[in-house]
Amino acid sequence: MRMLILGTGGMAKQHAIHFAAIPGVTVVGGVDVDPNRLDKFNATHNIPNGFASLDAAIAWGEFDAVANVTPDSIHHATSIAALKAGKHVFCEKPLATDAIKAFEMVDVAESAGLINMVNLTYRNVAQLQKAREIVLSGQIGTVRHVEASYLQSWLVSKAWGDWRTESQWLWRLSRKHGSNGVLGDIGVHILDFASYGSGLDIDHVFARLKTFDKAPGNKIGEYDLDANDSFTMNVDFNNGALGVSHATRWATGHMNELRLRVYGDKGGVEVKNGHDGSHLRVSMGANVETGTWEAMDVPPVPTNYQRFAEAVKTGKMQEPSFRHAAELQKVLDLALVTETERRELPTHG
Amino acid sequence: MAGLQVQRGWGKIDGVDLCGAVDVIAANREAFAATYGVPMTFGTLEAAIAWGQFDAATVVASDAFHHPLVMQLIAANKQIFCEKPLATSYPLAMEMVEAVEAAGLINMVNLTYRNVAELHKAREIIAAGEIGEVKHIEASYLQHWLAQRDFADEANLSGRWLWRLSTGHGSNGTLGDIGIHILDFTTFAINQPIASMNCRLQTFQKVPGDRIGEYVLDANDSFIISAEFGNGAIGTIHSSRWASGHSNDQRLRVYGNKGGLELSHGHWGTLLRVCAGADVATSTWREVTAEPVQTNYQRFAAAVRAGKQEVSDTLPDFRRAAALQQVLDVALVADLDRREHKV
Repeated sequence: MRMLILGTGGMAKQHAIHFAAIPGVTVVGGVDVDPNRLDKFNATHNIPNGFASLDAAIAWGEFDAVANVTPDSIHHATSIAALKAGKHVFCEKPLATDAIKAFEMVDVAESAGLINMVNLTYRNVAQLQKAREIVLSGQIGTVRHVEASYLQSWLVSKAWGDWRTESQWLWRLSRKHGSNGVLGDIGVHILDFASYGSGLDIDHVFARLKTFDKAPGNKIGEYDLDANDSFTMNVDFNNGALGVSHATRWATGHMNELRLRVYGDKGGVEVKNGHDGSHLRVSMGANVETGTWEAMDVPPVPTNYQRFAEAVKTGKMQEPSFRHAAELQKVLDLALVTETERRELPTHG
Repeated sequence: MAGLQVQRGWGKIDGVDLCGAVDVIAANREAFAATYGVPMTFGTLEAAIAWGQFDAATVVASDAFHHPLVMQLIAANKQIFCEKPLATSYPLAMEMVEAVEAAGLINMVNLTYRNVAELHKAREIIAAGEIGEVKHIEASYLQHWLAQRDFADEANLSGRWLWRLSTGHGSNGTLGDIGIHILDFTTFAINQPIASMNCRLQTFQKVPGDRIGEYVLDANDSFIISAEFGNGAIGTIHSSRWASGHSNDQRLRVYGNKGGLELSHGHWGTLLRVCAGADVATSTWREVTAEPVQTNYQRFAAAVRAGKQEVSDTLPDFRRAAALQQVLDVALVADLDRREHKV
């Protein structure tokens, strides 16, 4: 597979490294509007060809797939252009900035019969995959109750830097700088973690978002600090199970931790992923009676990068697909509406 | 519950004398009296009041009876210790509050988790500003006894617990049974009321037809609440009787703009930990221990002995319980119309 990396900013490095490491995959080109950044990136990763635009790369055409690492609002146009040129697409999250755009991308990809995947990175967490396997196997019975949380602490702890002075954090607090707050940033991860781990789809959602005061006048320089920094979400699933999901940037003591708890009528699983690694605990069989939980070791799983390469090689689609990400985007879009309307909304119909 | 009250409370306090017991069922009152050495028994509260030789009463009847019994006791000028919930609705609870306060009587509700020392410590830490202004909360109370039950086995099915699954038998399900505890736990720790909330309830099918004999199994098994608190903080509060692996676990996580606090409590014990001050930079959590606190029983007995209720916002008094009842009432409405409601 010949890979083109579209956008050579922050996340592009991961794509370059991971794809290059896959046998049979070569990163043949990089694209960026900024020639200095492009040249530096290509030099660092030994990428032979550089282009100032996707159009130029498409005109050249000697690649099979595109890793789309452009800014969120550019995913839609560029992915569609790549698909229309007959290229498979591996797109960074979020798939698009709203569900309507996301589903347009789904339609183009599916009509073209091309491989389309979204880099929901927590799929690389082996413990999440194992938790899902356990749930789908029926070992914890019918899922009844789910809790998911994503806790960060960078608004309180300086371990990450000082958000008050650093633009890499300030932009995340400002809508006009392209941020949809914690909901946009990590909401898709937590929803994917919850729905993938529990094996369930979300039917209804009610969310509350908050943008807490952070500075006098809620402004620092050119940044209006108006993007949400906390949310809580009530959901129900297609089998009637209830779930809560919540995220905040104020959770001192938690560097960057994603946690899922899934309870069924025969057992429970709990997955945690954070700076100290990933952990899976289960309570099943006789242990349930005493409320005993056991840690479970899990071998690594193929990454999204590896599975995309495999999908292109075999012609067989793999998850997470554009469609899956679009469905999650729908839930996120609805969450914004429920915050305004203060009532629960259905995800379908 | 009456027996538990004696074992955990009244039986261990000097100066508290169990002088009488009331139950409409003779066998019940006689067995209780025999077990705990209670000299006088009565078939009705009226009869006990007519006898009158008691200072205080503990109301352990089923929820729907709390209001009428307490109102009678107020009229008879007795100090009152009442099981939770105070009443089955906020208006009824407020009637009890107003009457007992007008009468100047000592009044307390048995919110048992007030006996947990670490909860008081958590409240102190938060009140002292150690974690700054509270922003984000997560609270849960998880049990698994419904997942443990074999509904297919007739021998297992007993009215002694089936009533908890039936609104017709006076149950408000998980919301009324343990929701009230986690709501108190949370709002007491952060010292903020719930200002507005959304709530979803769920009742899962246990048997085809959702009915076992006279018990229609319609009481809620799980609830999820998304709340905004008085100071603008937001949080989730949730509970289920189907949470396999958790026999009776409460957990509270509170994050402010200067630190975080986490408190868990279950049959296994209690753990309070805090990340604040210099520890924030390294995300280090430290365990905090707490000196035991007086139990609700001890506090009630002390107030009766002193002849007055401490003026304190930490007492689980009728007024506090009525405020919690208001939240439960709003939760039911919110589940019906799927909207957020102010409390």
